[in-house]
Amino acid sequence: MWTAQTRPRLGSSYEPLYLLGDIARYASIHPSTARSWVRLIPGRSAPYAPPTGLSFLDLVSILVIRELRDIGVKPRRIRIAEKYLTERLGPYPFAHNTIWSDGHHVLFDPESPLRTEVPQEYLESADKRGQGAFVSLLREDLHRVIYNEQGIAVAWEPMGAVELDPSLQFGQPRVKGTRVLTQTVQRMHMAGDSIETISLVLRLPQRDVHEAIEWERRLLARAA
Amino acid sequence: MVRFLFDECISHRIVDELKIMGYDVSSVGSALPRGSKDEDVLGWCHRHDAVLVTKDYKIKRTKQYLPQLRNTGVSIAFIRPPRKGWKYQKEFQWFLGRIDQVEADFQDRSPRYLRYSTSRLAPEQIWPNLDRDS
Repeated sequence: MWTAQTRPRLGSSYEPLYLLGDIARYASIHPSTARSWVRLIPGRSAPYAPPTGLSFLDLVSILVIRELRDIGVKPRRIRIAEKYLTERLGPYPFAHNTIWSDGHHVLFDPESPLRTEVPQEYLESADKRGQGAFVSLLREDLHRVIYNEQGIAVAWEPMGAVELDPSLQFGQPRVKGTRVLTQTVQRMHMAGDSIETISLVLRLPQRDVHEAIEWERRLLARAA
Repeated sequence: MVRFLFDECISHRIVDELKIMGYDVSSVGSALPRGSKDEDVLGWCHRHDAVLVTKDYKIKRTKQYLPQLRNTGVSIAFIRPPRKGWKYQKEFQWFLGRIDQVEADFQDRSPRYLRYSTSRLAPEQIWPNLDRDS
C-alpha cells in the first residue's frame, strides 16, 4: 500500500511533461521560436536540455513571453525582468498571476499575488528594477490560466471545454471535467464517427465534442 | 483473473460489454468520479491490483513522464490508436478481439508498461526496457 511517505508525487507543475514541439503548437509559435524563448524562462532549475521535456510552468511561462512579445516588449527587457523577478518571486516568476505589461515594460504587482483582475493602479516595473509604471490589458489567453492560492499557474483553458492540467492525463489537452483526451475525440471524428456518436459513447455534451475537434484542428493547422 | 481499470478515453460501452463477457473490468467513470486526477486513478489501481488501460498517441511524449509513473508500481496497457483515426465500432471490435491477449500479457502481475498497436500483433514493452534504452 502507498503510505504518506511512499505515495508517489504526481501532477506536479514542475515535472517534465511536454516536448518542445507540443509547447510550440499549444502556444501557436514556431518550434525554433519556442526553443529561443525557453532560454528566457526565468527561474528554471537547469537549462533546457533535450530530450528532457518541459513542465507545465514552462508552458505558462512561454505563453506569458508570447504575450509580452506580441504587445511589443523587447527580449532585452524580458531578460532584465527575469533576473529581478526571480529574486523577488523565486522559480518561474512568469507563471505567477502578478505579471502584467504596458506594452513596453514587464510589470508586476508586489502587493497582491492573488489578484485575478488586471490591476489599473501603479505597479512596479520589473525591467527597471522596481520603478513604477502604468498598466494596460494583456490578451485574453492568459486570463484563462487558473492559479492556485499562492498565485501559481495550475491549469490552462485554451478553449471553453478544453483544459490542460498537469494533475490530469499528465497535462495532455482533454475535455474539461473529464479524462477524455481531445485527441481521442478528434481521431474518432477523423475516422468517420458523427458528433452524435462520439457524444453518446464518450458521454460528452455535443458542444464539448465540437470544441475538442476545433482545438485539435487548430493544433494540426499550426503544425502544418 | 487480471483486473482492469479502463480510462475515460475508452468508451464505457466497451467496458460494459467486457463485463458481460466475464472479464474483471471497471471504468474510471464508475469506480471513480469522472475527471479524477492521475494520482487517484493510479492509487485505485494500486489498491485493487489493477492494470490501467489507457490511450497513448505519442510515445516520445509519454516517455517524458514515465519516471513519475514508475514510482507508482502500477502496470499500464497503453493502446495506440491508428494515425488515421479509429472509429468507435473498430475500437470495440479490437478490444473484444485482443482482451484475452492483454490479460495473458499481465498475468504474472509484475509492474510493466506495454504498448498495443492496432497494426501489430505483439505489444511493445516500454518499461522495464526503457532503462536500457535511455
